[in-house]
Amino acid sequence: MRECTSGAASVILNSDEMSLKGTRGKSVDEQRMLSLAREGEVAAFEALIEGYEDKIYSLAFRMLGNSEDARDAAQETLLKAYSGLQRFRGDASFSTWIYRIAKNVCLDILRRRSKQRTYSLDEPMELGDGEVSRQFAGDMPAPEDVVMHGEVRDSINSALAEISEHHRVVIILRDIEGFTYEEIANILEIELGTVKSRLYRARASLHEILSEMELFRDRAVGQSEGGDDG
Amino acid sequence: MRHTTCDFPGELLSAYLDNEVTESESARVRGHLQDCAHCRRRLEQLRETREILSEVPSQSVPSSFRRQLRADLLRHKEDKPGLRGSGSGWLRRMPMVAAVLLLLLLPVAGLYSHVSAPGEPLMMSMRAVGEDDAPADAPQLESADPEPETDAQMLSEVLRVDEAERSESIILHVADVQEGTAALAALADTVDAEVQSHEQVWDADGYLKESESLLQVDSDSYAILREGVLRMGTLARQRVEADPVVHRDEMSREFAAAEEADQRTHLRVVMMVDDETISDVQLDELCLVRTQLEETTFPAQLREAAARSWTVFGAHVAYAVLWIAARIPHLIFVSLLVVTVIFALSAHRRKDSA
Repeated sequence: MRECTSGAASVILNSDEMSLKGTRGKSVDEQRMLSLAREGEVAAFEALIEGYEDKIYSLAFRMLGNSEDARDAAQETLLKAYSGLQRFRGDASFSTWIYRIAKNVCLDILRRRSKQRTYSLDEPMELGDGEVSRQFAGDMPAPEDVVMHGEVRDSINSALAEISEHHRVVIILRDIEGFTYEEIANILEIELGTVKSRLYRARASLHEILSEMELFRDRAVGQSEGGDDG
Repeated sequence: MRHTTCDFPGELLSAYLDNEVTESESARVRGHLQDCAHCRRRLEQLRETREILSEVPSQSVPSSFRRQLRADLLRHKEDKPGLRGSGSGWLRRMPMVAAVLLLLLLPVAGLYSHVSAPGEPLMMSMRAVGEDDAPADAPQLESADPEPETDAQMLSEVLRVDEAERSESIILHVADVQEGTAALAALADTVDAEVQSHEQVWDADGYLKESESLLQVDSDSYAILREGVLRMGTLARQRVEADPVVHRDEMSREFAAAEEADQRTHLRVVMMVDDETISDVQLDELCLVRTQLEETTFPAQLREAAARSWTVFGAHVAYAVLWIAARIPHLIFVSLLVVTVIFALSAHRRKDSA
C-alpha cells in the first residue's frame, strides 16, 4: 500500500505549486489520494503531506523560536490536518489549508506561553542588594554572542522573536517561505491591504533590530535604488 | 538631503519591492523615489531585510519526527472509528447498522435481562465486572448468603489527600484482594466510575497480595464512590471491633474533608492482604457490605444510583410499548384483512351450503 501510494504521491507532490490547488486542476490520482486519506488511510495522508513536514516545522521554528515547541506544533498541525481532512473541500489549496492550521496551532502555543510567562521582560528584579535587569535563560542566544560567532541565523531568530506575532507570521510566510501576498491573505484570513501594511511594519522593525545587532555592518548600504527586481 | 522624514506610505514601498503593486502604483513609487533620498534609503533597508531573511536556511524535522508522526496517526486512526479503514461503503456503515440493531433489540434485552429486587442492584454487576479477576467457581452475589459469619476483615484508611492533583488515596486491608477488587469494580460500575489504571502484585504462590486501582468518576458521583469504598472497610472493621471509636472519628473527619473537596474526580484505592486475617473472605462477605449499606445508613444518592437500573428497565419497557404501538396500524390492517378473508370464506361456504 505504501509503495503504491508513494508512487502516486510523487506525481502529485513533485510539482512545487501543488496541483492540489482547487478542484479544477486535480488529477484522478490526487482525488484518489485525498479520498483515501479522508477515509483514514495513513499512508495516503503521509503521501499528501510529503514535503510539508519540513516547511511546517520551519514555520513553527521561526514562530516559536525553539525546536521542541516547533516539533510539537508540527506534530499537532499534521494530526489536526489528518483528523480534519473531511472538512477540506478543496476551496483553498491544500497548501493554504495546512498552513492555516499551522498558523493557528503556533498562535495557540504563543497564547498559552504568554499566559504562563507574566513578567515584563524589562521589569527590574529585586535582589538582596538592589535591582538588576531580569535575564531570561532561553533558547535564543544573547545577541552579542551571536554576532561574535557569526551565527546570523540565530540572531535573525532572536530578532523575529522580538516583533509581534502577527508581524512575524507575515514576514516568515513572505520572506522565508516565499508565499505570494494573496496566498498569505488566504492563509491568515486577512485583507490584502493588511498583508501589505503588516509586512512593511515587520520588515521595518526587523531592520531596526538587526541594525542594532550590527548585522548589516558589513553589507553595502544604499548602493542600489528602485524596486525593479520584484 | 532634502528629506529627513517622509510620509510616503511604507507599505507601497514594501509591495513595490515584491512587485505586488499595480502599474499606476509602480509609476507613483518610481516618481517619488527619483525625488526622495529618504525613501530610497527606506526601500534599501526593506530590501536588505528581505535578502537577509531569504538566506536563512530552512529547518528540517528531527530524524525521529516521521516515525513518531506515523505512530500518532495510527493511534489517532484507532481512536477515531469514523476514520478507520478503507472498506466498502457498506462495511463502513456497519457501526451505524449495529447501532440501529442494538436500538431495536433494546426492548427485547430489557424484557429478558435479569431483574433484581429494588435496592439490590448496588452490587448486581459484580459478575460482569469481576469476571477477569474472580475465580471461576465464585458464587454469584445474588445468591450469596448475607449472614456475617466469616472472620475476614476489611479496614480502610485514608492515605493522603492530594489537593493539587484533586485525588486522594484510600487503603483497604482485606483478606482476599481478588474479591475486594471485584467488589470495588462493582461499586465503581454503580456510579459509572472508570478504572484508569490497575496494578497488581502477586506473591510466589500466585496469590494476589496487593492491588492498586485509580478510578475516575464525575465530581457529582465522587462522594458516593468514596463513601462506598470507606464503608466497605468501616463496616467490616466495626464487626471485628478494632478500635472502632477512634476509627469512626477519623472517618467523619475525612467525610467532612471529602464534602469540602467535592470537586475531586480521582480516587486511588489500594488493597492489601491483612496478615492477621484468618480465613478467606467470601463473596458473601462482600454481599454483607452491600446489605448493610442498604439497610443502615445507605446514602440517598447511592439509592438513586441503585434505582437507576430500574429506570433503565422502565425505559426499555416504555420503548417496547411504543415500538409495538407504532406498528398498530399495520397490525390493525393485517387483522382486518384476516377477518375479511375469514368472513368472505365463511360467507362463500354458507352460500355453497345454501
